[in-house]
Amino acid sequence: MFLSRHFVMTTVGAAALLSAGAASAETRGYVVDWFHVATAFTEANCPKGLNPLSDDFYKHELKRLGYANSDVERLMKDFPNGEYIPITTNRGRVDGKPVNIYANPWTAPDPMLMNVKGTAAYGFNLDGRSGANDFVDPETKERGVDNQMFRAVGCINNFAVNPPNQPIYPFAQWDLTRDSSPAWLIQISGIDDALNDDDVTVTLDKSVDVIQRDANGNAVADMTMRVDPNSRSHTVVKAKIKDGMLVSEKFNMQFESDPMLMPMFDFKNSKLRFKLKDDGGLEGVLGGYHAWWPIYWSYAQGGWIVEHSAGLNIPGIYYALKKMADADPDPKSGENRAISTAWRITAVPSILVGTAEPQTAQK
Amino acid sequence: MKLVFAKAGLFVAAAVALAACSPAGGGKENASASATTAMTASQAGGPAIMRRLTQEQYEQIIADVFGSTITLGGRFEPDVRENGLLAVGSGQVSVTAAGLEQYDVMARNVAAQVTDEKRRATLLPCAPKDAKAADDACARETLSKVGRLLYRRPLTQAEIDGRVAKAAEGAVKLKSYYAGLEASLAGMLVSPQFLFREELVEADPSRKGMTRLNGYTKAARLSFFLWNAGPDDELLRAAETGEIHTAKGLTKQVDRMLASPRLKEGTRAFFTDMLEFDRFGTLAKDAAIYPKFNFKAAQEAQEQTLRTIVDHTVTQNADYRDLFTTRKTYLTRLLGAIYRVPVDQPTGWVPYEFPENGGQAGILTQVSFVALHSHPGRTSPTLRGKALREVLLCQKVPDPPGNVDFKIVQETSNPSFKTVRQRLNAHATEAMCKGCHKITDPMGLALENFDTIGGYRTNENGAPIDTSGELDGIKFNDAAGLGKAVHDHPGTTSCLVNRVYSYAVGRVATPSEKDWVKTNLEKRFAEDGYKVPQLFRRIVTSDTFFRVIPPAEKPPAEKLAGKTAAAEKLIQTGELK
Repeated sequence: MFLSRHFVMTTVGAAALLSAGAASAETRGYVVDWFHVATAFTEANCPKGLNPLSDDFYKHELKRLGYANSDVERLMKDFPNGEYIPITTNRGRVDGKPVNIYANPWTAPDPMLMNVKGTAAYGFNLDGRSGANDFVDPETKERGVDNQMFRAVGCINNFAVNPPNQPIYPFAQWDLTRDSSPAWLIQISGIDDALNDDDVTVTLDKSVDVIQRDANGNAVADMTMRVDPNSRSHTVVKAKIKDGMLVSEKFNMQFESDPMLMPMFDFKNSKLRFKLKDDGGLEGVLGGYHAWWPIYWSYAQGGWIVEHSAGLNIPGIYYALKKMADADPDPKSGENRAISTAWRITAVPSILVGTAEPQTAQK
Repeated sequence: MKLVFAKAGLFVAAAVALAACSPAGGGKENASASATTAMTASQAGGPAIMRRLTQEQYEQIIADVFGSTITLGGRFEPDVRENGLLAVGSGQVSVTAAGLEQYDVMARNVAAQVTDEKRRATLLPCAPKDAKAADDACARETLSKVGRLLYRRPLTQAEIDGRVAKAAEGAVKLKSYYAGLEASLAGMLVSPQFLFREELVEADPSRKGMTRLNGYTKAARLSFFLWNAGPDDELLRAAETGEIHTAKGLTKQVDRMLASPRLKEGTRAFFTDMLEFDRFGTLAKDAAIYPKFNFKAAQEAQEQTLRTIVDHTVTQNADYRDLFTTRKTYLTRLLGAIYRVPVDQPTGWVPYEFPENGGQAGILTQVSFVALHSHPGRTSPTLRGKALREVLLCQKVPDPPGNVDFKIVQETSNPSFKTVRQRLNAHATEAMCKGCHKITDPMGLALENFDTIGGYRTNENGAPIDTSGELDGIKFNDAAGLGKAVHDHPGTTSCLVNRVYSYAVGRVATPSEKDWVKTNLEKRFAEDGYKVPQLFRRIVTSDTFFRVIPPAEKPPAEKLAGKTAAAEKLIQTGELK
């Protein structure tokens, strides 16, 4: 049987069409192309420069463990390979015995990573206050931006980039998972005016399909993506569009992801903003509070491979995130369990099927 | 034949000599290859030729004989397109030294896999008494059976004796029956008898003084045309018994072949050739502008059109002309992204029908046509119009002169000429350009709703696109109108009939054949409702298809004999296998 475009559209949008009445508002579908930590590198953010790379901090750690200079040179002479690997991997100490530092980052002293000192960071004013620890968003000029995650990692070499450049390791994490992990979908419905509309709805879903790559390695635009009917990654939030920039209300959101990245994102008190681009795509920022331990583990799970190749001082990140955490205090210890974050999202047009709304590709 | 001989050199000379002199195939049919007399003008026919196997044919034969798990591991020489078809070019090419090396690599790879310990019990008909020694009886049985399928005829006594001797020699030297068999089989796979399709002739007993293809050559012509594969056992049997020479016997085989699923492969092969899909191998698009077009898109674009054609012409047995108007096709998710229509099946192909007023109608509006005949970063109504005339109407569009200034048409960002129509109009004000553009652009401009990869658009640089056009006096407003004009154009069906005939015989039709094609075949095609399988049937059941006009001049016998002896010597010494 030959399926016509009309047939497919009618099928997927039947419920909406039956109930929509004379609705003429537009619904647009997108598939997330890139998702990673939002970074904003300026010299003022890192006045003392960037944190040392792995060959440097490994030497420092070996010396801390008591190795003589000559031994350090010998152990490190074949870097990135060499005899140092089991030693630095197990540089934690419990009762004087070596333990894996990535699983037990508290078993070594805080290496005291240099953190962001400046005022530029992407994100949102999540707590409604403006204080000494807050930033100014370079794009929206919003003040009081809460993004302590960036403060923790922003002076690590891997994160010292500005858009459209992408922080290398988060880029790699996303890139490695996107060929096998179900895609993330965004639907914006109720659009009467794509430049200014004070009542649109943003729906976030996971797909049951993975993206396909175009000739540049990005997600193919205008491809059909099926929405996962499971509600575990389903979020609906109201938003407004002003001068082509969509900004959502605050919302909580859970989103199932790939273990390579994070098994489940769980944002609290979050906001979204998207610029509806002329090429039909979206570019924007997701900001929100997130438990800091899963963020730490997204780096730590890669162990030595990630630490040495990406230059991420894993226990350093642990201590930085722990210190910078600014939300969700533990009732007993009083330590904050969540940290304010911001993530950059780019998305390309997509035809979403299996949704409650009829989808059209944008010509 | 003489041309082939001159071009191919010693390698092919051996085959030509065999074709001309050897009673290959044995039996009652072979004795009269030299029986030639003048033919009357009213009897259509053409010369027998020799064709190099195409890559697809080589692969198919190996798969048919040894199974689809055999890998080749080599590269094929590029085919040459002549008179619109690679099939015609295959009769005008030889094998270069580098190409022979590649054939040798593949032959050794295939032979090694066939005789490999894991496969030999399945693929070989017998086992030697002693695996470390020669076994002539087993080698003869194996090489005879395999050779019949590889050479598309039984091996001559001399051929089989030579191959068995080669296997024995190898077995003794290498102390392994299978190593010897491997060497002999590899030699067979790189021999001209395998790599080239020899066409052997004999006297036609039903027409005094005339010649015809012998039974095995008929079988090969049938199978390569209808299936794009070598003849199967049943077809070889019909050749062996002479059944293929009788009307009843031929009809029985043709019925069987047209009813076979393999007809789809044969149909695909023809249209792949006619539509010049080999050019996809070097097709590139500007990824900065058209990132959707990647290697996969190029492959799926071809497949879409081939599926459309095969479904329409073979499965549905529908009117060929409707290919230019049908909205029914098959899509993948990636093609759905290019067309911007939903395809919700995660993998594979789904049948799809474009909406009536959606812009797409017919294979001219498919990615395969508009992308193949566009520049990397911009469309080209000229290339599209030229392709339409040359590929689908069999007309010749002159090449542009060497000193054309393309600056205006290449400047897509010129604010004075936002659309390609405007740019072409400005370009064609030059007298030297105007003539040719008049015969290509009016139909190519009708396809301007499709960008260089086939995506639908309604404006270019913000300016609305005008898709009105004309084809030989028929005016239309859009691509659907163009499709209708092509559907109704008498050249559309005439071109197909001529292309199919040339494809089937592997050469340009002779004047007598052209006359027959025009007065008979084209007329029958119309009477049959423009059904492609029926066109195939008309061709293969005609007298013309198998009738042979002998070469005007035979190579001198003593020269051939010398070449043959030299070639045989090289074969014996192992320098030429």
